[in-house]
Amino acid sequence: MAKDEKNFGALSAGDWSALRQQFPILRKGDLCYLDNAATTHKPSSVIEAMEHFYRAENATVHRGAYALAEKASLRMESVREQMAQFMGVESHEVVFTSGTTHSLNIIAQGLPDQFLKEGDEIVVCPSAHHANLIPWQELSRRTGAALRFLDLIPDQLTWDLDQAKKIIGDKTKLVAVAHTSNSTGIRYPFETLVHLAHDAGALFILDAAQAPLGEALHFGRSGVDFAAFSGHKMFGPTGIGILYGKAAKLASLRPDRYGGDMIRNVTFQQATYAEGPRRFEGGTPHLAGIIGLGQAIQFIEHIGIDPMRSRCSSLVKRARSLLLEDGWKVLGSQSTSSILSFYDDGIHPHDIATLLNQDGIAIRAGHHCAHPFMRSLGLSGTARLSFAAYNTMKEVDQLMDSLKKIRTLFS
Amino acid sequence: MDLYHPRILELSKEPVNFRKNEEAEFKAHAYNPLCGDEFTIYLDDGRTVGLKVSFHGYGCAVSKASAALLTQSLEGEDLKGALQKIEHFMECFESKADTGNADLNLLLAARDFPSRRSCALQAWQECQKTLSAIKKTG
Ligand SMILES: Cc1ncc(COP(=O)(O)O)c(C=O)c1O
Repeated sequence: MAKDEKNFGALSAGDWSALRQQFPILRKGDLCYLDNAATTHKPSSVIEAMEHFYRAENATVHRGAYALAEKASLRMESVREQMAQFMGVESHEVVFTSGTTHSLNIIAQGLPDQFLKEGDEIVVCPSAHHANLIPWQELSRRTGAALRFLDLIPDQLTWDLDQAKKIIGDKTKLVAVAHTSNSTGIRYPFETLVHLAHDAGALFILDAAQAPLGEALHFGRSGVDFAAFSGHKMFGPTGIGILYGKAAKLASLRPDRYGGDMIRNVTFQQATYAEGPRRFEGGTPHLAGIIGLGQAIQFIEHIGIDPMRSRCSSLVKRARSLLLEDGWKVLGSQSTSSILSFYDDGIHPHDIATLLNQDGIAIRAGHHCAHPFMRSLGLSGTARLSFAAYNTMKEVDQLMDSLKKIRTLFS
Repeated sequence: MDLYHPRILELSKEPVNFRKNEEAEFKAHAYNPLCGDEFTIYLDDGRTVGLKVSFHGYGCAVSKASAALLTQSLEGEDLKGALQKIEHFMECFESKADTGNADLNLLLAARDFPSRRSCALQAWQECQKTLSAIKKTG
Protein backbone atom coordinates (compact mmCIF):
# COMPACT_ATOMS: atom_id res chain seq x y z
CA MET A 1 0.00 0.00 0.00
CA ALA A 2 2.91 2.35 0.66
CA LYS A 3 3.54 2.61 -3.04
CA ASP A 4 -0.13 3.25 -3.79
CA GLU A 5 -0.24 6.03 -1.26
CA LYS A 6 2.67 7.71 -2.93
CA ASN A 7 0.97 7.45 -6.30
CA PHE A 8 -2.59 8.24 -5.42
CA GLY A 9 -2.40 10.37 -2.30
CA ALA A 10 -5.48 10.07 -0.14
CA LEU A 11 -7.58 8.82 -3.04
CA SER A 12 -10.12 6.28 -1.95
CA ALA A 13 -12.90 4.45 -3.72
CA GLY A 14 -16.11 6.43 -3.77
CA ASP A 15 -14.44 9.82 -3.51
CA TRP A 16 -15.20 10.72 -7.07
CA SER A 17 -14.15 14.34 -6.99
CA ALA A 18 -10.75 13.30 -5.67
CA LEU A 19 -10.59 10.76 -8.46
CA ARG A 20 -11.31 13.47 -11.03
CA GLN A 21 -8.48 15.55 -9.58
CA GLN A 22 -6.08 12.76 -10.54
CA PHE A 23 -6.61 13.60 -14.20
CA PRO A 24 -4.66 16.74 -15.13
CA ILE A 25 -6.65 17.37 -18.31
CA LEU A 26 -9.88 17.54 -16.29
CA ARG A 27 -8.57 19.73 -13.49
CA LYS A 28 -9.24 22.99 -15.25
CA GLY A 29 -12.88 22.10 -15.14
CA ASP A 30 -13.99 23.42 -18.50
CA LEU A 31 -13.99 20.08 -20.30
CA CYS A 32 -17.07 17.91 -20.18
CA TYR A 33 -15.60 14.77 -21.71
CA LEU A 34 -18.13 12.09 -22.60
CA ASP A 35 -16.17 10.12 -25.18
CA ASN A 36 -14.46 7.61 -22.96
CA ALA A 37 -15.24 4.66 -25.20
CA ALA A 38 -12.95 6.27 -27.78
CA THR A 39 -10.18 6.85 -25.28
CA THR A 40 -10.05 7.64 -21.59
CA HIS A 41 -7.92 10.32 -20.03
CA LYS A 42 -4.76 9.48 -18.14
CA PRO A 43 -4.18 9.92 -14.42
CA SER A 44 -1.05 11.66 -13.15
CA SER A 45 0.41 8.37 -11.95
CA VAL A 46 0.44 7.04 -15.52
CA ILE A 47 1.82 10.25 -17.03
CA GLU A 48 4.47 10.59 -14.37
CA ALA A 49 5.60 6.97 -14.54
CA MET A 50 6.16 7.31 -18.27
CA GLU A 51 7.98 10.58 -17.89
CA HIS A 52 10.10 9.14 -15.11
CA PHE A 53 11.04 6.20 -17.29
CA TYR A 54 12.35 8.48 -20.03
CA ARG A 55 14.02 10.85 -17.59
CA ALA A 56 15.68 8.35 -15.32
CA GLU A 57 15.42 4.77 -16.49
CA ASN A 58 15.48 4.75 -20.26
CA ALA A 59 17.02 1.63 -21.81
CA THR A 60 15.83 -1.10 -24.11
CA VAL A 61 15.03 -4.63 -23.04
CA HIS A 62 16.43 -8.12 -23.50
CA ARG A 63 19.73 -6.77 -24.84
CA GLY A 64 22.13 -4.90 -22.63
CA ALA A 65 23.86 -6.60 -19.72
CA TYR A 66 24.01 -3.32 -17.83
CA ALA A 67 21.85 -2.41 -14.90
CA LEU A 68 19.49 -0.03 -16.67
CA ALA A 69 18.64 -2.52 -19.40
CA GLU A 70 18.17 -5.31 -16.91
CA LYS A 71 15.87 -3.13 -14.88
CA ALA A 72 13.83 -2.27 -18.00
CA SER A 73 13.48 -5.96 -18.86
CA LEU A 74 12.33 -6.72 -15.34
CA ARG A 75 9.80 -3.89 -15.46
CA MET A 76 8.38 -5.21 -18.69
CA GLU A 77 8.02 -8.71 -17.32
CA SER A 78 6.51 -7.47 -14.09
CA VAL A 79 3.82 -5.58 -16.01
CA ARG A 80 3.17 -8.77 -17.98
CA GLU A 81 2.68 -10.55 -14.67
CA GLN A 82 0.43 -7.76 -13.38
CA MET A 83 -1.60 -7.88 -16.59
CA ALA A 84 -1.93 -11.65 -16.35
CA GLN A 85 -3.43 -11.28 -12.88
CA PHE A 86 -5.68 -8.50 -14.10
CA MET A 87 -7.07 -10.83 -16.77
CA GLY A 88 -7.05 -14.03 -14.73
CA VAL A 89 -4.56 -15.82 -16.98
CA GLU A 90 -0.92 -16.94 -17.01
CA SER A 91 1.79 -14.43 -17.84
CA HIS A 92 3.15 -16.52 -20.71
CA GLU A 93 -0.24 -16.01 -22.38
CA VAL A 94 0.06 -12.22 -22.45
CA VAL A 95 1.43 -10.53 -25.58
CA PHE A 96 2.14 -6.81 -25.72
CA THR A 97 0.80 -5.32 -28.95
CA SER A 98 0.02 -1.82 -30.11
CA GLY A 99 -3.70 -2.18 -29.37
CA THR A 100 -6.90 -4.07 -30.11
CA THR A 101 -6.63 -3.65 -33.86
CA HIS A 102 -3.09 -5.01 -33.89
CA SER A 103 -4.00 -7.91 -31.61
CA LEU A 104 -6.94 -8.99 -33.78
CA ASN A 105 -4.81 -8.74 -36.90
CA ILE A 106 -2.11 -10.91 -35.36
CA ILE A 107 -4.72 -13.63 -34.95
CA ALA A 108 -6.34 -13.23 -38.35
CA GLN A 109 -3.03 -13.15 -40.17
CA GLY A 110 -1.30 -15.73 -38.03
CA LEU A 111 -3.72 -18.65 -38.31
CA PRO A 112 -2.12 -21.56 -40.15
CA ASP A 113 -3.00 -21.74 -43.86
CA GLN A 114 -4.81 -25.05 -43.52
CA PHE A 115 -7.00 -23.74 -40.70
CA LEU A 116 -9.71 -22.49 -43.06
CA LYS A 117 -10.90 -23.59 -46.45
CA GLU A 118 -13.87 -23.15 -48.73
CA GLY A 119 -17.02 -24.44 -47.05
CA ASP A 120 -15.85 -23.37 -43.59
CA GLU A 121 -17.50 -20.51 -41.76
CA ILE A 122 -16.44 -17.59 -39.61
CA VAL A 123 -19.16 -16.28 -37.29
CA VAL A 124 -19.14 -12.56 -36.51
CA CYS A 125 -21.51 -9.99 -35.09
CA PRO A 126 -23.24 -7.37 -37.27
CA SER A 127 -22.43 -4.63 -34.76
CA ALA A 128 -18.71 -5.43 -34.87
CA HIS A 129 -16.20 -2.61 -34.77
CA HIS A 130 -14.38 -2.52 -38.12
CA ALA A 131 -11.32 -3.85 -36.25
CA ASN A 132 -13.19 -7.05 -35.54
CA LEU A 133 -14.79 -7.33 -38.96
CA ILE A 134 -12.33 -6.38 -41.67
CA PRO A 135 -9.55 -8.80 -40.57
CA TRP A 136 -12.13 -11.62 -40.90
CA GLN A 137 -13.36 -10.30 -44.25
CA GLU A 138 -9.78 -10.46 -45.47
CA LEU A 139 -9.29 -13.92 -44.03
CA SER A 140 -12.47 -15.03 -45.73
CA ARG A 141 -11.27 -13.59 -49.02
CA ARG A 142 -7.92 -15.38 -48.72
CA THR A 143 -9.28 -18.77 -47.73
CA GLY A 144 -12.74 -18.97 -49.29
CA ALA A 145 -14.37 -19.46 -45.87
CA ALA A 146 -17.71 -17.66 -45.58
CA LEU A 147 -18.70 -14.99 -43.06
CA ARG A 148 -21.88 -15.72 -41.12
CA PHE A 149 -23.58 -13.08 -39.01
CA LEU A 150 -25.31 -13.42 -35.68
CA ASP A 151 -28.81 -11.95 -35.53
CA LEU A 152 -29.59 -9.16 -33.13
CA ILE A 153 -32.97 -9.10 -31.43
CA PRO A 154 -34.78 -5.94 -32.61
CA ASP A 155 -34.80 -3.11 -30.05
CA GLN A 156 -32.82 -5.08 -27.47
CA LEU A 157 -29.95 -5.30 -29.94
CA THR A 158 -28.40 -8.20 -28.10
CA TRP A 159 -27.73 -11.58 -29.68
CA ASP A 160 -30.53 -13.94 -30.61
CA LEU A 161 -29.04 -17.01 -28.93
CA ASP A 162 -31.47 -19.39 -30.66
CA GLN A 163 -30.18 -18.23 -34.00
CA ALA A 164 -26.62 -18.42 -32.69
CA LYS A 165 -27.20 -22.07 -31.78
CA LYS A 166 -28.39 -22.71 -35.32
CA ILE A 167 -25.52 -21.08 -37.16
CA ILE A 168 -22.64 -22.19 -34.94
CA GLY A 169 -22.05 -25.78 -35.97
CA ASP A 170 -19.92 -28.21 -37.91
CA LYS A 171 -18.85 -25.66 -40.51
CA THR A 172 -17.86 -23.04 -37.93
CA LYS A 173 -14.12 -22.74 -37.48
CA LEU A 174 -13.99 -19.43 -35.74
CA VAL A 175 -16.27 -17.15 -33.73
CA ALA A 176 -15.08 -13.57 -33.31
CA VAL A 177 -17.30 -11.22 -31.33
CA ALA A 178 -17.16 -8.30 -28.93
CA HIS A 179 -17.56 -8.29 -25.17
CA THR A 180 -19.41 -4.96 -25.33
CA SER A 181 -20.57 -3.06 -28.40
CA ASN A 182 -18.86 0.28 -28.76
CA SER A 183 -21.82 1.65 -30.70
CA THR A 184 -24.78 0.50 -28.58
CA GLY A 185 -23.09 -0.25 -25.28
CA ILE A 186 -24.73 -3.67 -25.14
CA ARG A 187 -22.71 -6.12 -23.05
CA TYR A 188 -23.12 -9.40 -24.92
CA PRO A 189 -23.54 -12.81 -23.23
CA PHE A 190 -20.31 -13.99 -24.82
CA GLU A 191 -19.83 -16.78 -22.27
CA THR A 192 -22.66 -18.72 -23.95
CA LEU A 193 -20.99 -18.34 -27.31
CA VAL A 194 -17.70 -19.66 -25.94
CA HIS A 195 -19.49 -22.91 -25.15
CA LEU A 196 -21.25 -23.04 -28.51
CA ALA A 197 -17.98 -22.39 -30.32
CA HIS A 198 -16.06 -24.99 -28.36
CA ASP A 199 -18.80 -27.60 -28.77
CA ALA A 200 -18.48 -27.02 -32.50
CA GLY A 201 -14.69 -27.31 -32.29
CA ALA A 202 -14.27 -23.66 -33.27
CA LEU A 203 -11.90 -21.01 -31.96
CA PHE A 204 -13.41 -18.25 -29.87
CA ILE A 205 -11.99 -14.74 -30.14
CA LEU A 206 -13.13 -11.87 -27.96
CA ASP A 207 -12.81 -8.19 -28.85
CA ALA A 208 -12.58 -6.93 -25.29
CA ALA A 209 -11.76 -3.31 -26.17
CA GLN A 210 -14.71 -2.01 -24.13
CA ALA A 211 -14.36 -4.52 -21.31
CA PRO A 212 -11.53 -3.59 -18.93
CA LEU A 213 -13.30 -0.74 -17.10
CA GLY A 214 -16.65 -2.49 -17.19
CA GLU A 215 -15.98 -5.60 -15.19
CA ALA A 216 -13.21 -7.82 -13.88
CA LEU A 217 -11.82 -9.97 -16.67
CA HIS A 218 -11.64 -13.70 -16.21
CA PHE A 219 -10.40 -14.89 -19.55
CA GLY A 220 -8.93 -18.03 -18.06
CA ARG A 221 -12.21 -19.01 -16.44
CA SER A 222 -14.46 -18.02 -19.35
CA GLY A 223 -12.36 -20.16 -21.67
CA VAL A 224 -11.93 -17.71 -24.54
CA ASP A 225 -9.12 -18.77 -26.85
CA PHE A 226 -7.99 -15.25 -27.66
CA ALA A 227 -8.88 -11.78 -26.40
CA ALA A 228 -7.77 -8.32 -27.43
CA PHE A 229 -7.92 -4.87 -25.85
CA SER A 230 -6.18 -1.48 -25.78
CA GLY A 231 -4.38 0.33 -22.98
CA HIS A 232 -5.70 3.75 -23.96
CA LYS A 233 -9.30 2.84 -23.18
CA MET A 234 -8.39 1.91 -19.58
CA PHE A 235 -6.55 5.03 -18.36
CA GLY A 236 -3.34 3.83 -20.01
CA PRO A 237 -1.26 5.28 -22.83
CA THR A 238 -1.94 4.99 -26.55
CA GLY A 239 0.16 2.64 -28.65
CA ILE A 240 0.05 -0.26 -26.23
CA GLY A 241 -2.44 -3.10 -26.01
CA ILE A 242 -2.84 -6.74 -25.19
CA LEU A 243 -3.33 -9.97 -27.02
CA TYR A 244 -4.30 -12.78 -24.72
CA GLY A 245 -4.08 -16.30 -26.11
CA LYS A 246 -4.22 -19.73 -24.49
CA ALA A 247 -0.64 -20.96 -24.60
CA ALA A 248 -1.29 -23.75 -27.11
CA LYS A 249 -3.35 -21.45 -29.34
CA LEU A 250 -0.69 -18.75 -29.31
CA ALA A 251 1.89 -21.36 -30.25
CA SER A 252 -0.19 -22.28 -33.30
CA LEU A 253 -0.07 -18.74 -34.73
CA ARG A 254 2.53 -17.52 -37.19
CA PRO A 255 4.31 -14.40 -35.90
CA ASP A 256 3.10 -11.27 -37.70
CA ARG A 257 6.58 -9.78 -37.90
CA TYR A 258 10.11 -11.10 -37.96
CA GLY A 259 13.28 -9.56 -36.58
CA GLY A 260 15.10 -8.94 -33.35
CA ASP A 261 13.70 -9.84 -29.93
CA MET A 262 11.55 -12.69 -31.21
CA ILE A 263 14.22 -15.24 -32.15
CA ARG A 264 15.92 -18.14 -30.44
CA ASN A 265 18.71 -18.99 -32.85
CA VAL A 266 19.66 -17.35 -36.14
CA THR A 267 22.02 -18.50 -38.89
CA PHE A 268 22.59 -16.80 -42.23
CA GLN A 269 20.01 -19.07 -43.82
CA GLN A 270 17.32 -19.46 -41.21
CA ALA A 271 16.08 -18.78 -37.74
CA THR A 272 14.12 -20.44 -34.99
CA TYR A 273 11.76 -18.36 -32.95
CA ALA A 274 11.33 -17.66 -29.31
CA GLU A 275 8.51 -19.41 -27.53
CA GLY A 276 5.59 -17.75 -25.80
CA PRO A 277 4.62 -14.12 -26.13
CA ARG A 278 8.01 -12.97 -27.36
CA ARG A 279 7.40 -14.71 -30.69
CA PHE A 280 4.95 -11.87 -31.36
CA GLU A 281 7.00 -9.04 -29.93
CA GLY A 282 9.63 -8.54 -32.62
CA GLY A 283 11.45 -5.22 -32.42
CA THR A 284 11.94 -2.78 -29.59
CA PRO A 285 8.75 -2.66 -27.53
CA HIS A 286 6.84 0.43 -26.46
CA LEU A 287 8.40 0.28 -23.02
CA ALA A 288 7.17 3.59 -21.70
CA GLY A 289 3.74 2.45 -22.81
CA ILE A 290 4.09 -0.83 -20.98
CA ILE A 291 5.14 0.99 -17.85
CA GLY A 292 2.22 3.39 -18.19
CA LEU A 293 -0.12 0.46 -18.67
CA GLY A 294 1.20 -1.13 -15.47
CA GLN A 295 0.39 2.09 -13.64
CA ALA A 296 -3.08 2.16 -15.20
CA ILE A 297 -3.77 -1.32 -13.82
CA GLN A 298 -2.62 -0.20 -10.38
CA PHE A 299 -4.88 2.80 -10.62
CA ILE A 300 -7.90 0.71 -11.63
CA GLU A 301 -7.25 -1.82 -8.90
CA HIS A 302 -6.85 0.92 -6.34
CA ILE A 303 -10.24 2.47 -7.19
CA GLY A 304 -11.91 -0.85 -7.84
CA ILE A 305 -13.76 -1.92 -10.95
CA ASP A 306 -17.07 -2.55 -9.17
CA PRO A 307 -17.40 0.94 -7.68
CA MET A 308 -16.44 2.43 -11.06
CA ARG A 309 -19.04 0.32 -12.80
CA SER A 310 -21.84 1.32 -10.44
CA ARG A 311 -20.78 4.95 -10.77
CA CYS A 312 -20.97 4.76 -14.56
CA SER A 313 -24.21 2.87 -14.55
CA SER A 314 -25.91 5.53 -12.43
CA LEU A 315 -24.63 8.19 -14.85
CA VAL A 316 -25.91 6.21 -17.83
CA LYS A 317 -29.27 5.53 -16.18
CA ARG A 318 -29.81 9.19 -15.50
CA ALA A 319 -28.74 10.21 -18.99
CA ARG A 320 -31.00 7.57 -20.54
CA SER A 321 -34.10 8.62 -18.62
CA LEU A 322 -33.52 12.33 -19.26
CA LEU A 323 -32.91 11.74 -22.96
CA LEU A 324 -36.09 9.71 -23.31
CA GLU A 325 -38.00 12.34 -21.35
CA ASP A 326 -36.85 14.96 -23.84
CA GLY A 327 -37.92 12.91 -26.83
CA TRP A 328 -34.57 11.53 -27.99
CA LYS A 329 -34.37 7.97 -29.20
CA VAL A 330 -31.92 5.66 -27.49
CA LEU A 331 -30.35 2.60 -29.13
CA GLY A 332 -31.01 -0.63 -27.24
CA SER A 333 -33.80 -1.05 -24.73
CA GLN A 334 -31.47 -1.46 -21.79
CA SER A 335 -28.17 0.05 -20.77
CA THR A 336 -25.68 -2.61 -19.84
CA SER A 337 -22.45 -0.63 -19.88
CA SER A 338 -21.16 2.92 -19.67
CA ILE A 339 -22.04 3.62 -23.31
CA LEU A 340 -25.29 5.11 -24.62
CA SER A 341 -26.17 5.94 -28.21
CA PHE A 342 -28.99 8.33 -29.00
CA TYR A 343 -30.44 10.04 -32.03
CA ASP A 344 -33.27 12.05 -33.46
CA ASP A 345 -34.59 11.57 -36.96
CA GLY A 346 -34.55 15.29 -37.63
CA ILE A 347 -31.14 16.22 -36.23
CA HIS A 348 -27.94 14.87 -37.67
CA PRO A 349 -25.53 13.40 -35.10
CA HIS A 350 -22.64 15.53 -36.38
CA ASP A 351 -24.68 18.66 -35.90
CA ILE A 352 -25.36 17.54 -32.34
CA ALA A 353 -21.67 16.90 -31.69
CA THR A 354 -20.50 20.21 -33.18
CA LEU A 355 -23.10 22.18 -31.24
CA LEU A 356 -22.28 20.36 -27.99
CA ASN A 357 -18.64 21.10 -28.61
CA GLN A 358 -19.49 24.79 -28.68
CA ASP A 359 -20.69 24.31 -25.09
CA GLY A 360 -17.49 22.49 -24.12
CA ILE A 361 -18.99 19.01 -24.29
CA ALA A 362 -17.09 16.29 -26.15
CA ILE A 363 -19.09 13.37 -27.52
CA ARG A 364 -18.69 11.08 -30.50
CA ALA A 365 -21.02 11.22 -33.47
CA GLY A 366 -21.17 9.03 -36.52
CA HIS A 367 -21.09 5.35 -37.29
CA HIS A 368 -18.59 4.45 -34.53
CA CYS A 369 -16.53 2.29 -36.88
CA ALA A 370 -19.56 0.04 -37.32
CA HIS A 371 -20.77 1.37 -40.63
CA PRO A 372 -22.67 -1.67 -41.97
CA PHE A 373 -24.43 -2.00 -38.62
CA MET A 374 -25.65 1.60 -38.60
CA ARG A 375 -26.85 1.19 -42.17
CA SER A 376 -28.73 -1.96 -41.19
CA LEU A 377 -30.54 0.02 -38.50
CA GLY A 378 -31.46 2.58 -41.13
CA LEU A 379 -29.30 5.19 -39.43
CA SER A 380 -26.38 7.12 -40.81
CA GLY A 381 -25.06 7.29 -37.28
CA THR A 382 -25.82 8.20 -33.71
CA ALA A 383 -24.56 10.54 -31.05
CA ARG A 384 -22.76 8.49 -28.44
CA LEU A 385 -22.16 9.21 -24.78
CA SER A 386 -19.62 7.13 -22.94
CA PHE A 387 -18.83 7.66 -19.30
CA ALA A 388 -15.91 7.04 -17.02
CA ALA A 389 -15.89 7.15 -13.23
CA TYR A 390 -14.58 10.72 -13.28
CA ASN A 391 -17.72 12.02 -14.96
CA THR A 392 -20.35 13.70 -12.82
CA MET A 393 -24.12 14.10 -12.56
CA LYS A 394 -23.52 17.79 -13.11
CA GLU A 395 -22.02 16.94 -16.49
CA VAL A 396 -25.12 14.93 -17.37
CA ASP A 397 -27.23 17.98 -16.52
CA GLN A 398 -24.92 20.24 -18.50
CA LEU A 399 -25.32 17.90 -21.45
CA MET A 400 -29.10 17.88 -21.14
CA ASP A 401 -29.26 21.69 -20.99
CA SER A 402 -27.18 21.93 -24.09
CA LEU A 403 -29.27 19.30 -25.88
CA LYS A 404 -32.43 21.23 -25.06
CA LYS A 405 -30.96 24.29 -26.79
CA ILE A 406 -30.07 22.18 -29.81
CA ARG A 407 -33.57 20.79 -30.03
CA THR A 408 -34.97 24.30 -30.03
CA LEU A 409 -32.60 25.35 -32.80
CA PHE A 410 -33.77 22.54 -35.02
CA SER A 411 -37.48 22.66 -34.21
CA MET B 1 -18.49 32.91 -37.16
CA ASP B 2 -21.47 30.74 -36.31
CA LEU B 3 -21.67 27.53 -38.31
CA TYR B 4 -25.33 27.24 -37.34
CA HIS B 5 -26.57 30.61 -38.52
CA PRO B 6 -30.39 30.71 -38.59
CA ARG B 7 -30.28 30.95 -42.38
CA ILE B 8 -28.23 27.72 -42.61
CA LEU B 9 -30.71 25.99 -40.32
CA GLU B 10 -33.59 27.30 -42.41
CA LEU B 11 -31.98 26.03 -45.60
CA SER B 12 -31.35 22.63 -44.03
CA LYS B 13 -34.91 22.29 -42.81
CA GLU B 14 -36.48 23.41 -46.06
CA PRO B 15 -33.81 23.15 -48.70
CA VAL B 16 -34.42 24.62 -52.11
CA ASN B 17 -34.21 22.32 -55.13
CA PHE B 18 -34.49 19.24 -52.92
CA ARG B 19 -35.88 16.68 -55.34
CA LYS B 20 -34.80 13.65 -57.30
CA ASN B 21 -34.47 13.86 -61.05
CA GLU B 22 -33.54 10.42 -62.28
CA GLU B 23 -33.78 11.57 -65.91
CA ALA B 24 -31.08 14.19 -65.43
CA GLU B 25 -28.30 14.06 -67.98
CA PHE B 26 -25.55 14.16 -65.37
CA LYS B 27 -25.39 13.09 -61.78
CA ALA B 28 -22.77 13.87 -59.19
CA HIS B 29 -22.56 11.60 -56.21
CA ALA B 30 -21.27 13.08 -52.95
CA TYR B 31 -20.53 10.45 -50.33
CA ASN B 32 -18.65 11.07 -47.12
CA PRO B 33 -17.29 7.81 -45.72
CA LEU B 34 -16.52 9.48 -42.40
CA CYS B 35 -20.15 10.16 -41.59
CA GLY B 36 -22.07 8.15 -44.19
CA ASP B 37 -23.72 11.27 -45.61
CA GLU B 38 -24.82 10.87 -49.14
CA PHE B 39 -26.22 13.26 -51.74
CA THR B 40 -26.90 13.05 -55.43
CA ILE B 41 -26.79 16.26 -57.39
CA TYR B 42 -28.80 16.15 -60.61
CA LEU B 43 -27.57 18.32 -63.44
CA ASP B 44 -29.71 18.74 -66.52
CA ASP B 45 -28.14 20.63 -69.33
CA GLY B 46 -31.03 22.43 -70.92
CA ARG B 47 -28.63 23.73 -73.69
CA THR B 48 -30.53 26.92 -74.37
CA VAL B 49 -31.86 27.79 -70.92
CA GLY B 50 -28.83 26.64 -68.98
CA LEU B 51 -28.46 24.04 -66.22
CA LYS B 52 -31.36 22.79 -64.17
CA VAL B 53 -29.99 21.57 -60.88
CA SER B 54 -31.51 19.71 -57.95
CA PHE B 55 -30.29 17.40 -55.22
CA HIS B 56 -31.47 14.66 -52.93
CA GLY B 57 -30.05 12.58 -50.13
CA TYR B 58 -29.17 12.63 -46.50
CA GLY B 59 -26.70 14.64 -44.48
CA CYS B 60 -26.11 17.12 -41.71
CA ALA B 61 -27.51 20.63 -41.64
CA VAL B 62 -24.33 22.12 -43.07
CA SER B 63 -23.99 19.68 -45.95
CA LYS B 64 -27.66 19.98 -46.81
CA ALA B 65 -27.60 23.78 -46.77
CA SER B 66 -24.40 23.72 -48.80
CA ALA B 67 -25.83 21.39 -51.43
CA ALA B 68 -28.98 23.54 -51.65
CA LEU B 69 -26.89 26.68 -52.15
CA LEU B 70 -24.81 24.89 -54.76
CA THR B 71 -27.89 24.05 -56.79
CA GLN B 72 -29.02 27.64 -56.54
CA SER B 73 -25.65 28.96 -57.68
CA LEU B 74 -25.47 26.71 -60.72
CA GLU B 75 -29.06 27.18 -61.83
CA GLY B 76 -29.21 28.62 -65.34
CA GLU B 77 -25.45 28.55 -65.94
CA ASP B 78 -23.84 26.82 -68.88
CA LEU B 79 -21.21 24.17 -68.15
CA LYS B 80 -18.35 26.61 -68.27
CA GLY B 81 -20.11 29.14 -66.09
CA ALA B 82 -21.05 26.46 -63.60
CA LEU B 83 -17.46 25.33 -63.26
CA GLN B 84 -16.35 28.91 -62.76
CA LYS B 85 -18.95 29.40 -60.02
CA ILE B 86 -17.71 26.30 -58.23
CA GLU B 87 -14.08 27.30 -58.51
CA HIS B 88 -14.86 30.78 -57.27
CA PHE B 89 -16.66 29.41 -54.23
CA MET B 90 -13.85 27.01 -53.41
CA GLU B 91 -11.26 29.76 -53.69
CA CYS B 92 -13.28 32.00 -51.40
CA PHE B 93 -13.66 29.11 -48.96
CA GLU B 94 -9.91 28.62 -48.71
CA SER B 95 -9.12 32.32 -48.38
CA LYS B 96 -12.28 33.28 -46.50
CA ALA B 97 -12.87 35.99 -49.06
CA ASP B 98 -16.29 37.47 -49.70
CA THR B 99 -18.15 35.25 -52.15
CA GLY B 100 -20.42 38.08 -53.19
CA ASN B 101 -23.42 36.15 -51.90
CA ALA B 102 -24.61 36.51 -48.31
CA ASP B 103 -25.84 32.91 -48.03
CA LEU B 104 -22.66 31.43 -49.45
CA ASN B 105 -20.60 33.54 -47.08
CA LEU B 106 -22.27 31.73 -44.18
CA LEU B 107 -20.75 28.45 -45.34
CA LEU B 108 -17.26 29.84 -44.89
CA ALA B 109 -17.67 29.35 -41.14
CA ALA B 110 -17.05 25.64 -41.71
CA ARG B 111 -13.42 26.45 -42.37
CA ASP B 112 -12.92 26.91 -38.64
CA PHE B 113 -14.15 23.36 -37.93
CA PRO B 114 -11.59 21.01 -39.46
CA SER B 115 -13.85 17.99 -39.05
CA ARG B 116 -16.73 19.80 -40.75
CA ARG B 117 -14.99 21.36 -43.74
CA SER B 118 -16.04 18.54 -46.00
CA CYS B 119 -19.69 19.11 -45.02
CA ALA B 120 -19.51 22.52 -46.68
CA LEU B 121 -17.31 21.47 -49.59
CA GLN B 122 -18.17 18.01 -50.69
CA ALA B 123 -21.15 18.64 -52.94
CA TRP B 124 -19.15 21.36 -54.70
CA GLN B 125 -16.12 19.13 -55.15
CA GLU B 126 -18.12 16.27 -56.58
CA CYS B 127 -19.95 18.56 -58.98
CA GLN B 128 -16.65 20.00 -60.06
CA LYS B 129 -15.38 16.52 -60.88
CA THR B 130 -18.52 15.62 -62.80
CA LEU B 131 -18.58 18.87 -64.76
CA SER B 132 -14.86 18.72 -65.57
CA ALA B 133 -15.27 15.20 -66.92
CA ILE B 134 -18.14 16.37 -69.17
CA LYS B 135 -16.11 19.27 -70.42
CA LYS B 136 -13.24 16.97 -71.34
CA THR B 137 -15.37 14.40 -73.16
CA GLY B 138 -17.90 16.82 -74.58
C1 LIG C 1 -15.18 -2.62 -29.66
C2 LIG C 1 -13.90 -2.06 -30.22
N1 LIG C 1 -13.07 -2.84 -30.91
C3 LIG C 1 -11.90 -2.40 -31.41
C4 LIG C 1 -11.50 -1.10 -31.24
C5 LIG C 1 -10.21 -0.65 -31.82
O1 LIG C 1 -9.32 -0.26 -30.83
P1 LIG C 1 -7.90 0.39 -31.19
O2 LIG C 1 -8.23 1.53 -32.10
O3 LIG C 1 -7.37 0.83 -29.88
O4 LIG C 1 -7.09 -0.65 -31.85
C6 LIG C 1 -12.34 -0.23 -30.53
C7 LIG C 1 -11.97 1.19 -30.39
O5 LIG C 1 -12.70 2.09 -30.68
C8 LIG C 1 -13.56 -0.71 -30.01
O6 LIG C 1 -14.38 0.08 -29.32
